[in-house]
Amino acid sequence: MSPSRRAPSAGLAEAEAIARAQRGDAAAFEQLYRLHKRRVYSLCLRMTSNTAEAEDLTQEAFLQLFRKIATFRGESAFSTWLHRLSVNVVLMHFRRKSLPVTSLEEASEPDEEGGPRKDFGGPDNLLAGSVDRVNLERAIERLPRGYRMVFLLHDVEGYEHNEIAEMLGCSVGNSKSQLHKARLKMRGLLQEQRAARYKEEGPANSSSRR
Amino acid sequence: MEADCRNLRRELGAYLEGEASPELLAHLEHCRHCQNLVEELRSIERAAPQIAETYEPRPALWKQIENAVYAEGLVRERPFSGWFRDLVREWLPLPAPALAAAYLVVLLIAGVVITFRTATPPLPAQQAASPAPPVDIAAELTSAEQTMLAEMERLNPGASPIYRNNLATVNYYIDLCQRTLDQDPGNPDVRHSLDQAYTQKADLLSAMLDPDEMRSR
Amino acid sequence: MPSWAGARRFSRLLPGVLILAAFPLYAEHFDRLFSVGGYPLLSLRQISGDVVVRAWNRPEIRVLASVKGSHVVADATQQGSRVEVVSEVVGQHDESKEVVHYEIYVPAESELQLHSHDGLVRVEYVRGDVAIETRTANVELKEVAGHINVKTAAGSLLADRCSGRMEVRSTSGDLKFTEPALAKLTAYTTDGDIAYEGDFQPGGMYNLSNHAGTIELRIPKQASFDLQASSIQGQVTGDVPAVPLAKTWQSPTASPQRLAGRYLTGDASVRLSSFSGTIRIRWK
Repeated sequence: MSPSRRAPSAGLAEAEAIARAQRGDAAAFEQLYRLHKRRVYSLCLRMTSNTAEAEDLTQEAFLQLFRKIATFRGESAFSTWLHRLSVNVVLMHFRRKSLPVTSLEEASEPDEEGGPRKDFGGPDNLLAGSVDRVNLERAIERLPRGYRMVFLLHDVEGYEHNEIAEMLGCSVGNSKSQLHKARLKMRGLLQEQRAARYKEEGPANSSSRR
Repeated sequence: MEADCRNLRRELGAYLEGEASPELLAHLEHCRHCQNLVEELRSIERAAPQIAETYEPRPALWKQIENAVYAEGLVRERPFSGWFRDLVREWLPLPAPALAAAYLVVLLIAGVVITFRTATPPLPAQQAASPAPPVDIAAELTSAEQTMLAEMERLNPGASPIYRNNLATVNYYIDLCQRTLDQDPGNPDVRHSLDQAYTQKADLLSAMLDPDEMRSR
Repeated sequence: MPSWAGARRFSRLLPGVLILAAFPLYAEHFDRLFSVGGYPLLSLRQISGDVVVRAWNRPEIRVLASVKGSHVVADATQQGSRVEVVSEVVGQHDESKEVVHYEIYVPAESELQLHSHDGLVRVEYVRGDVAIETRTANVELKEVAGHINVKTAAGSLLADRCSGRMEVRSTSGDLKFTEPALAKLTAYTTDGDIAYEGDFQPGGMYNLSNHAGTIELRIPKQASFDLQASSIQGQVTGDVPAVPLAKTWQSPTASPQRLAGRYLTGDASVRLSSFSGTIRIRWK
């Protein structure tokens, strides 16, 4: 799941921009920014839920990129390399605020009181048709930060567990288990959101689901 | 059934990653609850990529980054735009710092020459294009805003009536929302309306402060 | 500072420079062609006049400028994948008379940053990030796709068959969207009208709001969306739909100011809000 390319020439354009940026070309910096600003900013915004902080982190990520670009030798895809930098910036940000970002412990969470049992299936697939952009965004915002990062990196951005493990400094097993818990939690949140939308219906209407 | 579901729940993660024990597969064969769970988790995984890259930072962020990039000396060649650069480059193949100095000297000369031209008399204030808002303009603008507009009037008379009217309009609605909110403090719709008005006001002020608007012509 | 040899060359330059400064260097008309790579940026700062940007299938940006004022300088330059077009009024002059008209052709996939005071800004068939800021210039978009951001103090917007994501903010301009295919739309005008004519995208998010003025939806009978429409001091009216609503309800404080409900399967999320304006929902 590599980032979709808008134009076929974008790959060439990027390679050229990297080469020129390594020589300190200002226009090339701008081009790299424009090619990747959305991915970086989206990650920062989803992690912080605050546009001002997200902008600060985006700025920091790109500055680090431009400082270090001369050391990029093409061992990985450029976007992966940039993403690794961005993830680091986000992690540092939360570390400084003493907020946990990744819960790397294996201990299972206590079940929540009330609400759907998040790790059991039910008689119906309740999420059919509910997993759309709107609800996804809302649920991600409510996802505990400890799970959000892994979910964003794996399911949204498409990184593999070994890449995520390297970015977050944890084991591959950790990454996998965190992802699983994140998805279970997402499922719970999506079900809650769906239930809330139907809350005001009368009792007679539960059969007309699609 | 529930005991089996519970036992196999921990394996579910592995199953979704492609590793499954025969017990799990057998269980999934007949347990509709677990099948639904798997399908639900899969649908989340399928849906997630559609939101990659949704958000965009505001255009001004690049300016900030660019300034920092220059400040840190990461740029090794400082281009400056304009037909003038090409002209001077052609006539005067100097290294960048000397070129910058030459550019500055020329700007100074150009500035001196322009100042000595006969200044045209200031224009009368233009008619506002839009109909007057139902407000008392003077009352709606704070003294700081009046000062800003007076300055704009002096520097850029064409622009100020438009900003004056639009700023007054937004302020009028901010007042209206605020008063309504005072009477009905918990009302989220009114708060939302107020927030929108403030955002629009910020936009207007930011447009006014654009170097193009607030400068001597 | 320049070396001695440089200084001699510089002194030869001086009279030319003085002449240039005395008579603003402008062309009455120019036509320039720039070769650009993938996804170039067109950055334009316009004072008064029309700007039309159209997509074509060449890896080039072509800028045609027609200068109508006598105290305005127009220029177009290139830096790598960025083409900058600038109009500048020299000296104290009535801006509205210093008109420059631009006609610009860009590759279909381009980023645009257009800044204009007065006149018209029109973009056709471009795909990419489009950011437009105007003072009173009206904005017309035709089949523009991508991420579109429009900010204007008093200009109006007409967006026809645009797709992607769009944000618009205006103070007194009217906003009109015809046959949109936008996945996300956030539109706000302080006291202008908003008109939305067309369908919604599944999973789309639409947020139309103003303080005064009307917000009108004209939508097809098969539109599927969740609606929340409220006007704090105004009215919300809706046609009775031809297809029965799956679920409709009025909020607990039912009033003529609020309408909420699910139409068909609620695939899109639509939120209309006004302070004192009128909200109307009509079926096509």
